[in-house]
Amino acid sequence: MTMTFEPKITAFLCKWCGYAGADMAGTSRIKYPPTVTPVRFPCTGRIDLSHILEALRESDGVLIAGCHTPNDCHYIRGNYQAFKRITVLKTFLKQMGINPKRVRLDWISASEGRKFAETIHDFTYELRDLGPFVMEQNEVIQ
Amino acid sequence: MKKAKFAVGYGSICGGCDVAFTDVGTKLADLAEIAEIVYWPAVVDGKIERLEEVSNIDVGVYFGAVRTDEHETVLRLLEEKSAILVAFGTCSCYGGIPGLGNVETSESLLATAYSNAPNTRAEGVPSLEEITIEELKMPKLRDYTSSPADLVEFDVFVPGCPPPVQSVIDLIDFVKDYRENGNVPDAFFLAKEGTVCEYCEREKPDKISIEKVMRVHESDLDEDECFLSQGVLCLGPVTRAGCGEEPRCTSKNMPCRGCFGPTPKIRDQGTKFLSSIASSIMLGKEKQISEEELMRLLTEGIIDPVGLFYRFALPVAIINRKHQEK
Repeated sequence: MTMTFEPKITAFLCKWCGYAGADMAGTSRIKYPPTVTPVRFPCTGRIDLSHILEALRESDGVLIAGCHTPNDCHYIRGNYQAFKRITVLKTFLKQMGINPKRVRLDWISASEGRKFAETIHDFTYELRDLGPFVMEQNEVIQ
Repeated sequence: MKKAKFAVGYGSICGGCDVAFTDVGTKLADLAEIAEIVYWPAVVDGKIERLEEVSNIDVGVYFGAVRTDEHETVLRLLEEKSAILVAFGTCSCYGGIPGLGNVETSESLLATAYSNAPNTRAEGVPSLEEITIEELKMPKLRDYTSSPADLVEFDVFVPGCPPPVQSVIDLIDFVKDYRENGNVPDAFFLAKEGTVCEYCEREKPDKISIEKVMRVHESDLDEDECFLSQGVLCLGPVTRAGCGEEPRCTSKNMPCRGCFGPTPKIRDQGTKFLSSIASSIMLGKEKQISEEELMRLLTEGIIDPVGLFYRFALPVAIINRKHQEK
């Protein structure tokens, strides 16, 4: 029997929508793969690109989920900040030879437990196809 | 009094750091008075055997990044023999411009240089491994460029591409001080703590919103206004100050390129700036245009994030070398 590769996903979820959506998936008892490690953020606008890159070094994919555009954000336009940052990040990832699909941005509201589960399903399948992400880095003493 | 022994070793360099030394003018005569130059390929005979022979170097200075095995040999020799080890120039502090080679693999770099470039004849690409022909050795080209500061521990850092005249003068004063009093400075940066913006005298608005990313030649620059508010990308907010009383590029009406590296509070200069620039684009006006339009603005405005934001500090970034993925 061959072992199938199970990807590791780090999910950055905004506390008002993404995290509440994940909660909804739990309370509604919707099944989804155990591949995701959620991290709660106050808002997707708080997520700095260095958070995403550091997370990517330790996992196979990073999911960012927040409130729907244009008007759902609790802080008015935090979701747009995330949208803009991740668009630029994808250009950077392409240049460094990393498949930009490993970073995924989705809008999931507090009531969309089913969408959260589907997103995890979908992302897990996608990452299975892409394979494990092994980051070769320069050696650093310390 | 005995002269201090002074040695300069080379990594992957362009030669600009040597020129920076000559820029100090007559002060250079002081260096000759207080120090005996035991090794410096551009000044005295520079065979590696010479560096292997000498011992008890007082001040060892390293220029450039580490790209080949030879570069590391020189670096390790200097580390072993010097009382004070100085990282001179951005390349030895953060990897510098040669570090941009990390966006390609070594194979593709050689292929471009020896065969694919339009002005070369496609007659084979040299091997990556060490080549020995009779007594001559060609060192192995590494897979990536590293920042020397990641490999050894330096006592003094002199950032700048090239370091400003004042830094060289300060360094000569260090040599003098060491020779007279034996003071060894400890992990000292010849730069200021704050950012370039703190010292830049241009007028800065409270909130910066960039409607279109412009290049210098595309815009009619106002000489007294912040570059960022005019849409020209300037690395001032994330770059360490100290290149002059007034930042040397912004005072000459050119945006900061970030050669002094990240400020002490920043882990990664490029990523931090990428985040802040992305959020400044159409700040507060995102809802006036469609998401597709916003995406187009971002992808067309920032075409080459690595070259622009990681120009001097790619080898010390969070993701710092080309990843090979199918």
